[in-house]
Amino acid sequence: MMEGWGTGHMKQKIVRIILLISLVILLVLINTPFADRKETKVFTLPGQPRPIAEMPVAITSAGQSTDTYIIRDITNQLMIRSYFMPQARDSELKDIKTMVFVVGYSSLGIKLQGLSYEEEKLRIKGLLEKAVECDMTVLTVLIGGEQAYDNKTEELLRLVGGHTDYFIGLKDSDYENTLAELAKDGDIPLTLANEVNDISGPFASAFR
Amino acid sequence: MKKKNSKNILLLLISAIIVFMSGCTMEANSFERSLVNAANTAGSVKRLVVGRANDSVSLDPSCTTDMDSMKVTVNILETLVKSENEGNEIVPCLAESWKCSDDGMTWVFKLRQGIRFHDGTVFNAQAVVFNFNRWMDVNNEYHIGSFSYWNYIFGGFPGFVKSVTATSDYTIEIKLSKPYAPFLNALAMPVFGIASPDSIAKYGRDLYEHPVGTGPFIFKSWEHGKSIVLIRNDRYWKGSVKLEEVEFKVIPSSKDRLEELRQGYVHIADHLSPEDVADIKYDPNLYLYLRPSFNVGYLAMNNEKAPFNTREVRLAINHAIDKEKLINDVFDNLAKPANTYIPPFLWGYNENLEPYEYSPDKARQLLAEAGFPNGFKTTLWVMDAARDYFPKPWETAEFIRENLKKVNIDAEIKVFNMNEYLTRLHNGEHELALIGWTGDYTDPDNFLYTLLASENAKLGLAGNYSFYRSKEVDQLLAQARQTTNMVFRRSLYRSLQEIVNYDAPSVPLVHTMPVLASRLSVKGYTPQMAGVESLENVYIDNSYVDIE
Repeated sequence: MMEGWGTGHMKQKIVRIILLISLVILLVLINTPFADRKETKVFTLPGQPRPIAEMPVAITSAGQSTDTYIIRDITNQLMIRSYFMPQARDSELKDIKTMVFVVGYSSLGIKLQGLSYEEEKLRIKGLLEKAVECDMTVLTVLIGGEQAYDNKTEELLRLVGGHTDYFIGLKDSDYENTLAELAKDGDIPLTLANEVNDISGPFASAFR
Repeated sequence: MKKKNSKNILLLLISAIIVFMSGCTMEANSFERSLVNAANTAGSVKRLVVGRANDSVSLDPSCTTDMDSMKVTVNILETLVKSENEGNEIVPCLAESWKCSDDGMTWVFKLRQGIRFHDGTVFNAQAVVFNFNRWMDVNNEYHIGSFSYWNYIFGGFPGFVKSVTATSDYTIEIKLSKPYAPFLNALAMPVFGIASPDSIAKYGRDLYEHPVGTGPFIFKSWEHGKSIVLIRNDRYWKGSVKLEEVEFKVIPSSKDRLEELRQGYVHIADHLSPEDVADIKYDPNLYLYLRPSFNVGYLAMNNEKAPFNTREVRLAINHAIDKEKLINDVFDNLAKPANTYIPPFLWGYNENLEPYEYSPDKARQLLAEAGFPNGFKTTLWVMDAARDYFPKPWETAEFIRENLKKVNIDAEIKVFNMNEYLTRLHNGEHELALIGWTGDYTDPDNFLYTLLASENAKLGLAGNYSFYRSKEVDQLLAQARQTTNMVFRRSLYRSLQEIVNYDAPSVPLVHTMPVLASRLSVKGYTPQMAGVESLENVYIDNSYVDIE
């Protein structure tokens, strides 16, 4: 009797185990081939489909890195009427239609200009307020240069990012994710160029 | 027993509920479709389907200017050198190295060894010379076809290519009669893909449907108007690619192409409508791609036919077209108004050109001055399917017709399939025609020489569809080709655009951003600025669902 009950109980256990295994297999089968893999899609533009910016342009730095000079050269090559003002103040932006922020923190650059990091942030905030007040277009360019990831550059990028009309950055840079996040959150157009030489096209597309 | 059974039934029910819950992200019919599709596609997951608006015109790239032909042939035939990084870099391909003489007139290419064509024959210097002779020598027995691109680039047959000689089994020497700044860029164009000499001899006039090259894919079949299938070249010299098969499937309607992409029946869809951009962008299963505006769509006026041989008439038509409204109504704002024939970001662009303002009054006044106070009747030609520069050709033509009507020009629209269209345009049969150009490489020469040089206004071979002839422009074009000084070249092109803007041979309309999309499962696909990309690095990631 005992044995009989034991056998029945064992059979029931086996059936349950088989059912559970089947359940696990079914779950795996259903989830693996058919469920969509979640992936963050970052939509980037090759350039602006229509011009968004007007001349004259003020090119300034956000962090005093030398990357600003690259944008000055590109602007000159493209014959875009611009003023090169790495340490621009809000009071100097008379008649300016477009502000270009070239983001990149350089401790040496800040030091050479006799600024502190806090003063640099205040200067940028002043420019952004002026840009809003005068309805300027704001372009933000982040090249990244040879320097490794830097918290201050990230902070400056986020500071300018909220007021930006168009981001231009580099693919595979340390700041690609931040740019993508800012672009997505603010629904701001973003172009990621392959390399510095390729920035010229998207930059021109903002103007013509 | 009953108790045990009910326990098991309960367990089964729970299992069923869990199973059902786990699949709740998919609707029932979607789930069924998934199962059916999964069964159908089992074992063929390495097959990529590209949905496109147009069929190819010819699979002999040397005899066509059609981009939808190059999109296929770039996977079959390879060139001596290749353009990378959006045309900014020239890298080795069938030639492993090269050098150029100081005067820029002699080029020596060292070829790769150990490569075979798809028909098993050997790739070597003799094969390259055979191809060049076929392209450049009108008396060559295999010079059958138009070879328009050779004419556009090299200025005739043989043009300024003096000789091409095999100096050893794997070295060739090309002598030019004058230097040509973008020579390597030109050789990197898919149009100069090297075909097997045996296949050229074997197929003769039918070569256009029997391409045999050295590339990553081998031509399998072509059902005209429907589909072209390529299969993997297992003996590819760079190593076998991941895809086993590629199908280029013609789906003329943009809506149908997008729907098939959504359903997972195609993996990549081109020439999508600008108005679908938002939908594609937020579709969780699709990637949206926009190509850079590396093109120009224009209204060609045949300057050899009256009344378009009168400058005032051409100016009137330039003033009659409201480009801003055209872009808003037809291009969904995904285009820029064109003031000239090169894209605004290309070096050499003249940003100081004064665009012709939209002014029907001025247009009517100019027509009256030209002797047409009551306007005139004409024909406006257009192609039957989307192109990069005209995603909605019919709507563009209708818009232009309405604009012209306002200045008393009665234009009757005539539609042609692309093959016939190009042939007729090459022959200069049109009066007004909507056409465009997508750049092959980042040099203004590629746009301006092709579209404006008198050399390219030859009947039967024309790329200058305005049939515009200007000695000054020809001189500037020639000068710019022969110098490598970028500052000088830039200034020559800027001056040239001023002359052309004054003469107004045609109406530059738009620089568009062509729209295309792929399934998330497609990896390694990078749309190129020039509109043509090899699929050799593309693969399908099987862990993604390709069915809705």
